[in-house]
Amino acid sequence: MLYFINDIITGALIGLLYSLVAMGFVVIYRASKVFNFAQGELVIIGGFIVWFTTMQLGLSLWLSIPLSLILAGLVGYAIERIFLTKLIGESVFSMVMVTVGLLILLRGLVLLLFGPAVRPFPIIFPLKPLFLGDMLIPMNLLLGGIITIVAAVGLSWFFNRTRSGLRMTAVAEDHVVASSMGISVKGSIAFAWVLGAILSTIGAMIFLSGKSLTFLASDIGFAALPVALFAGLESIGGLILAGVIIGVAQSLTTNYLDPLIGGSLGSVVPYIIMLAILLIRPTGLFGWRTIERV
Amino acid sequence: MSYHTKRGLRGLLTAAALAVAASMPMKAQAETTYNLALLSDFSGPYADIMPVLAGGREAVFTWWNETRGKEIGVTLNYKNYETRYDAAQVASLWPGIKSELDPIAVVGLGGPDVAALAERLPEDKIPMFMATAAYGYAWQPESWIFNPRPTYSHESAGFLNWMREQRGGDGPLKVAILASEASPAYVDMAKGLELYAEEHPDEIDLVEVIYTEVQPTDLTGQMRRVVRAGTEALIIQTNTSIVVAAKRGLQANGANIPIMMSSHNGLPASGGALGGLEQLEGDFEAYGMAIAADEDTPARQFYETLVADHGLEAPWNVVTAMGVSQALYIVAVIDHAIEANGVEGLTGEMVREALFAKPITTEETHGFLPTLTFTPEAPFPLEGLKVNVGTVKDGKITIEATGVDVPDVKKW
Amino acid sequence: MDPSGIFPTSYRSDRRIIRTRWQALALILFMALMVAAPFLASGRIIAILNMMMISAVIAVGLQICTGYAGQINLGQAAFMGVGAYTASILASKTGLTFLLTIPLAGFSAALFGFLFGLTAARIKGFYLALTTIAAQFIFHFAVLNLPSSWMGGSNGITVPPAELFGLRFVGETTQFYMNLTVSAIMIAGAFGIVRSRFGRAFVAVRDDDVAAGIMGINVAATKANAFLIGAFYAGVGGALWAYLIRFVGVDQFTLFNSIFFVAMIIVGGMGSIMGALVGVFLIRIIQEVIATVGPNIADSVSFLGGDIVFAGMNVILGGVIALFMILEPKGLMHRWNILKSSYRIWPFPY
Repeated sequence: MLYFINDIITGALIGLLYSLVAMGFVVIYRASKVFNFAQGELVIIGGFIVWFTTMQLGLSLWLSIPLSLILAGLVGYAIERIFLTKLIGESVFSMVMVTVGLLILLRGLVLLLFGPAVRPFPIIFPLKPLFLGDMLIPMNLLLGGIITIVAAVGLSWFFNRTRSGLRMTAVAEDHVVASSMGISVKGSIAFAWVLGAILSTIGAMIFLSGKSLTFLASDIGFAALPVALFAGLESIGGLILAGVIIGVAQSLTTNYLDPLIGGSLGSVVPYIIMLAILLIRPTGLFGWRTIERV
Repeated sequence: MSYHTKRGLRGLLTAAALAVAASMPMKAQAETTYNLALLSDFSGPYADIMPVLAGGREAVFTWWNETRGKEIGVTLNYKNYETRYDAAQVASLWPGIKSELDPIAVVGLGGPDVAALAERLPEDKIPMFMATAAYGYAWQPESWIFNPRPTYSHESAGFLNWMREQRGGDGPLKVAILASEASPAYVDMAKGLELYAEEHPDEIDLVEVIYTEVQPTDLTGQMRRVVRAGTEALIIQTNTSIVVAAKRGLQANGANIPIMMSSHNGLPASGGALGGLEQLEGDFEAYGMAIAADEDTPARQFYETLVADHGLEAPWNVVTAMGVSQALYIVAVIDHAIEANGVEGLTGEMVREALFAKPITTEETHGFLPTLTFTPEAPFPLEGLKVNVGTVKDGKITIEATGVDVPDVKKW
Repeated sequence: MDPSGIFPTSYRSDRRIIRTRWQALALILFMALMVAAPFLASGRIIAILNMMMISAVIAVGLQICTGYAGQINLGQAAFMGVGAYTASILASKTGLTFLLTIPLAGFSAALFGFLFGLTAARIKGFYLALTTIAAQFIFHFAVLNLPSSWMGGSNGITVPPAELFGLRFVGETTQFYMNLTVSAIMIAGAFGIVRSRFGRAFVAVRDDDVAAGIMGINVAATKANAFLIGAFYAGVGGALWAYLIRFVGVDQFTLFNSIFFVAMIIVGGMGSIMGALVGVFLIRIIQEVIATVGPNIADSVSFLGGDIVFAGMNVILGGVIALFMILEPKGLMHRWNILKSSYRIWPFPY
């Protein structure tokens, strides 16, 4: 029973990690109505930046982490400026397609800049887990979960309570209306990409702390996807709930069902939950339901 | 891998070496030339090990041309083809390789090559030789694709039997497998050992087969289950990321179950990804090929010869050993074919015949491989197979056991 | 925009695909060239053409689903996989002729696609696009976990060669004619579909599904049809793939493959069958050039290190696609049409 509870807790924490990566999707989606298919690649780039500043430059973590976040933000800004600004006003469809191209491009670029070798990722969070009696909770996931919740609460407050955040929410609702109100759509989208890249880098730190860094890490982008859709693409607060539900379901499946069937149902469960929820609520749990007029 | 960081200087040295090599009238001396097609993946998932693997392969062909080839007047030409580890790319390259190069043998790399060419090679009568262990799904008679090593499941079963003997006592060894459904090859590796354990309950008690992602988020929970079940060995033949995640999971649980790795995710690679070989103290790598350790073995000596005289610049590690051993058994087969058929007019079919005609002795492969006796029944030698076991002692890779017998694993 | 002197006088003539004699001539010449290709070109070229034709069938299907009906589909490789597996199972277990297995592969893929299309009745926009990724994961999981006697599991399936009247379709030349015939039928069919009642409904739904609904189009059925047709094409392409490679494994149909199919129709141009063909041609050519030129460059400039050259090649591939999307988001066909019409009305600006 104790282990059962432990599995639930670990699952919930893994789910929160998915939420953090999914937050990257949502922030960018809100600002530009663009679903960023290259989110997993942003996680890798963030990971490589962290690896570069700590392992290559040899900076201490206190220095390298803020530096990495700044660099990641710059990368996000650069991507937006180079690839997406020019497309404002084009159809959303072509902007999304650019992110598909970006996915392929970033993979090549990382290979060119950092080489294809498997890298050891710095140990950012203590390796020693937290022991709660007989229960054992990985430190990176625990601290990561706290960071995720803080980030979600902070960003929700920002988008719903502050003036600049509300401006961005207006942009999320309608580009044309927002710009006619004097709100800078460009600025808002650029900010979203900076934020998206930073969130991905934090995600990379939690995900990879003490592990190894390769291209395989980009898979987390697609693992986080069901969380984003489940919550609804506009809701930041909803991500927490969605992440926890999907994480717990996945953890219970991998720990109790997979050994029985001898397969990997755990990796498909998030998608099945997502499909089921979308059939009941087509815009996720907390997504905006827009009324379409002709 | 330090190989990459020192690329600049080494690269320049290679360029110089190549320029010198190119200016030497090597071709003029040889009367007969045969071509080999090298399938490579410099930009796909194996891009990290490819330069080293290719270095090992090519150095052996150079060595052969400069020694044995010179003697009998034969030159082996080789050309690398980039497959991106993609079956579609292999399939579209193949007719071109055939018409442009007309190779007598193909030097393969991995699964996509097998998938794309398994049905083509018998038609074109050209054999392909791999470097890796074999797979259950390719275990068919009358193959044109060959592996110098048994299947991954043979290798892990051989290791586990060795480990049980080391431990002593009667009971079966408690084992867990970490696999992934990301690739059918990973599933195949697990399936074979699963069947073996089922049929030999007195040898192996399979605690669990854990399926995870290729880059696992967290394996603490799974590792706790494995530890609680009293597992004595973990088999991880998938990739380095899973080794690292499993190791972290074990460390979190304060446990130290020995992990067995394979050649493509072996001790040096996994140690590098963990940030230090010393963290793998007491873990094993086991495969049917020489272990690249510090000991002065015939394989090591041959490697030193390649470095000193034939322009090899890859470091002494398992990937280089894989490339070298692959090329060595290929040149040995070609040698046999020349002995049987004369220098002129060698064909792919003759090379394949030569493979069955005569065993390739371990001396011929300089101790890189055991004596290989191929039969038309399977793509790998069914008898006389051995695995070698390497481990980490005091932060260094050492050879723990050589010539461990591989048990009779049934086809699954 | 037609050249001067061509005036459609009836609806029928306005819907014509071949509008001028020159177009007819060009088409005939092109077909003749294709039929003669194995006698003119090397095996390598024929192999590339084989791969292109198979990709073309799949990309044209995606074009109908995504380009015409506006339903983003990231499961095309899974649909292709369903077709490939159907053809392989039928051919290896029942020995059915390829004349039957290829259409059956199309139908089974269409059924699988239709299931995902049905969700379109409720799910819209990106939510729908992203559920197609689920198709990819579910396909992968199903193949590996269903009993291996069904779909081969991790073993994959070996496919016997296609045979007709004692002629075995092995080797690139015979396969070339098989692929040419099937892809010509499929592409001609696509031109027919997009100018039919279905095609018009697709475009209407793509441009505004609420408006389309008001005009009396059954939006849900139209979307489901789009998936059905797109998946049918993928299934046929998958069957051709199975007969070409003669071994199917689940790792041949990945999400990354799906992404490349999307990239193909973007580069060529959304909403145009020709665009899909142009995109397939371009991306396949770039890939082949990289595979061909790469080793040579790596050999000649080895001081760079082969890995840098190859990584650079990957950047080029991604870069070309990204550049196209930025500079030419409507695709090459759009630019071509602009060029063509400005040539025809020259010297007038419009």
